[in-house]
Amino acid sequence: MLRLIDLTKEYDADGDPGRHVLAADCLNLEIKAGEVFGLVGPNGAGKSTTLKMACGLLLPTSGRVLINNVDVEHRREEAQKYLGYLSDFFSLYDELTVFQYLDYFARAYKLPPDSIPGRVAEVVLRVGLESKRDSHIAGLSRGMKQRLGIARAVIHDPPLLVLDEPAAGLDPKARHDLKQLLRGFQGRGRTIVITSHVLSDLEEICTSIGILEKGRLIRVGKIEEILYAAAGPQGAAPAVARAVRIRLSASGFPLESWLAARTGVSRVASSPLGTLFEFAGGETDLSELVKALVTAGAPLAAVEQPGLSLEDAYSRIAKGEVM
Amino acid sequence: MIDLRALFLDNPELRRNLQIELSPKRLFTAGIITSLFALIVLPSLMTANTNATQSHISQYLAIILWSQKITLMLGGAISCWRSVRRERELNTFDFQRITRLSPLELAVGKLFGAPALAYFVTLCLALPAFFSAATTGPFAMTTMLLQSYVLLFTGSLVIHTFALMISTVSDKGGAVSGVVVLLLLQIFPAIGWLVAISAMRSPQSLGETAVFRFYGIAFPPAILWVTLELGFAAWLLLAVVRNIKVDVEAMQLFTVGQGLGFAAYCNFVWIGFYPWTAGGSGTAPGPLLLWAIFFFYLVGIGVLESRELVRRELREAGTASAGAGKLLRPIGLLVAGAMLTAMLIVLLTQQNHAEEAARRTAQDFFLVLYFAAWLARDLFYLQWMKIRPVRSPLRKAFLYLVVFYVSTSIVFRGSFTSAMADSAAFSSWFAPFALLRTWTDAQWNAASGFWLLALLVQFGAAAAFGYLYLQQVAALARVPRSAPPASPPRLSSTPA
Repeated sequence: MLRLIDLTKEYDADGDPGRHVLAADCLNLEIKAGEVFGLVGPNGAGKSTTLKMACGLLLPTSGRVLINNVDVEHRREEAQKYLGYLSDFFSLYDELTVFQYLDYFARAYKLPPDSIPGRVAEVVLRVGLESKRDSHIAGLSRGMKQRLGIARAVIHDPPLLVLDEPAAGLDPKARHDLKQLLRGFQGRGRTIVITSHVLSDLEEICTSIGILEKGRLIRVGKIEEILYAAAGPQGAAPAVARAVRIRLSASGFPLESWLAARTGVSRVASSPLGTLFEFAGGETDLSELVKALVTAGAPLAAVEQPGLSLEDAYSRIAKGEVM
Repeated sequence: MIDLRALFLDNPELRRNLQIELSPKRLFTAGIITSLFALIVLPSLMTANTNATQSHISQYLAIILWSQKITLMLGGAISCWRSVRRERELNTFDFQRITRLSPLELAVGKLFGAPALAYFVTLCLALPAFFSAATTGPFAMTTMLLQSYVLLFTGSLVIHTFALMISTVSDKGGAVSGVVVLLLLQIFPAIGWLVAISAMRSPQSLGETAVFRFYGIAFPPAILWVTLELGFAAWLLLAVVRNIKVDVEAMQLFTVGQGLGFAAYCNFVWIGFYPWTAGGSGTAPGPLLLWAIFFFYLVGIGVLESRELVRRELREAGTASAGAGKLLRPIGLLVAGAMLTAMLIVLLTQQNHAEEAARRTAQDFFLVLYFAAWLARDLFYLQWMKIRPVRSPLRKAFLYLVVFYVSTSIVFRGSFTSAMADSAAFSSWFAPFALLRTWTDAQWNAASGFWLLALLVQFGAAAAFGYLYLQQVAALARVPRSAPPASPPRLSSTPA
């Protein structure tokens, strides 16, 4: 659905114009139809620049973008009919009503005039703005405006939806609604490319992710494969260990120092949730450790092996702890 | 083939602008204000002298027409100038750029939609104007009024298109300079319009038909001016359409071919008003040539390449494209076009003033070479500055250029009017003002060495700036490109 071929964008560095910055460095990526692809990376990694180039809003220094096999640079208007886009910070036309706004974009996307009222009603219903159909945009809340922005992006029913930080500035309820909305689009077979700083949100909705660092894609894959790779045995030495959390039913036992003295235990840290450590050993070794702990008189309440979150995986990959 | 229905009747951008600009609230307010204005002005004139009604009606019409001119030309231009800028500031413009609206639909939607309120006010004021012209003036007055409205419309169209062009190609800066340029531009379309309304100021002159001579042929001013203005609007609209959906950093007002075409059109208009009757006045081609070259200068500024465009060209075509060939496009071709035009002008002036021409041949061809070298000098300077890695490079380049020309004018102000050719010739090492005067053969020959040196200085400066430009291109090409990164660790289901 979306292909980036050697996509590169050079800038002059701020404050030192003689130095060049690569916001995108020979990016090669293919996102298949039906995927929900999350692009993650720190601020300045080049996520927004990459998405803007993918949409044809920014001219790449070199390289190509194909949407549905249509070259965005040379056949822009044709490529853009397959594309819906929402940027991180945007405004709407406050003077218009919700219906007028969507009607405008439906016409701008050249939908057949007869089908427009029906299509607008359908999209308004899908994003939950049916009660606001004739309200002026100026009176909508931030969350509603975000939903209207998404309604605009999907008014022409594009197979590809590009969302740059769509959850920015939304309250938890609006974020939840947004996720539901995106799941709905995914359910209808749409391809979604999304960036967000809230990795837990991406973990919930994405099927695959790409990690972007200084304009380079350092990891691309299915989300479970990324998590597996980040925690798996093929990683560097620290990644071999797995996380284990122990909770005691009463205080008084010097758990941290006791654990620190054991073989195979590292990175011991206590928190209100319990004492977390990394254990380099198999299941038998772990059960031996637990047995020894009980024998030592610790009031054991629970032993957990928390899975690696996307945030942990990202952190390890970004730090280079995982090959 | 242009689909006019899609462009006007079914244009969603035009419709959106009309919905916003002509909201009932705005219409009501504008209607009340204009009605009050129209009603107040007439009685205030009538009370001054009740005997001279005819003259007062003319004054009334003039006031109404001036109000309409200011509203439509200036007010409408400001609306057009804000149209794209405001969308960029609000971050709504990108959403329009990714729709399937064609650049022409988007441009026309903004061109006629953004100043809709100004059109409405003008229309409101037209009613009392027509009423007073029809009831109290002769029939010719109504005809002249109609004519002045056609001129007002086409003149506004030029200004509005220019304002939209500025809005399209300038990012978020240039607020003050934009307004200044718009104010200055009010002069051009006002010429034709003033001809029309000046006739109405004196009822006695209504029967007289003024004519404009264009290439020696007499034309009714309204028809000629409307045609020329529509031509200008079309060229400016071309620049808007070419750029409105393009990334700001990669904008270039015209392609080289289009730039040459527009400069040729400006010259066609300018030269057309020269007194081309044989033996007519104005034998010195200096001012004519300077203006002709100046059009290439202005167009050349719009054709200069941005740093981003040069970088892209280098990355796409490789460092081989950083050679001396860069001097040819766009500046070399523009200078060649300017020289051809200048030669044509010289030949035309010589044809009309054959006796004097034979005597002036050397001087005239010197002027052609000098102005071409001067054009190359400044354009290479601007192009070099434009691709330097600094903030607002072109603005800085203009600032330095203005300081340079103002200082030169101050230092050499005596030389421009002095009869001493050598001091004037020396001043033309820096600026071409001294060449606007007509020099006698004796004066010219007395300073021939200085004139020649002035020409060499222009060529030298053009070569120096051309070299600096190439150096800058080479620096941009030399930037170490990091090797294409190794493919990211690829996981089974997402092949890159």
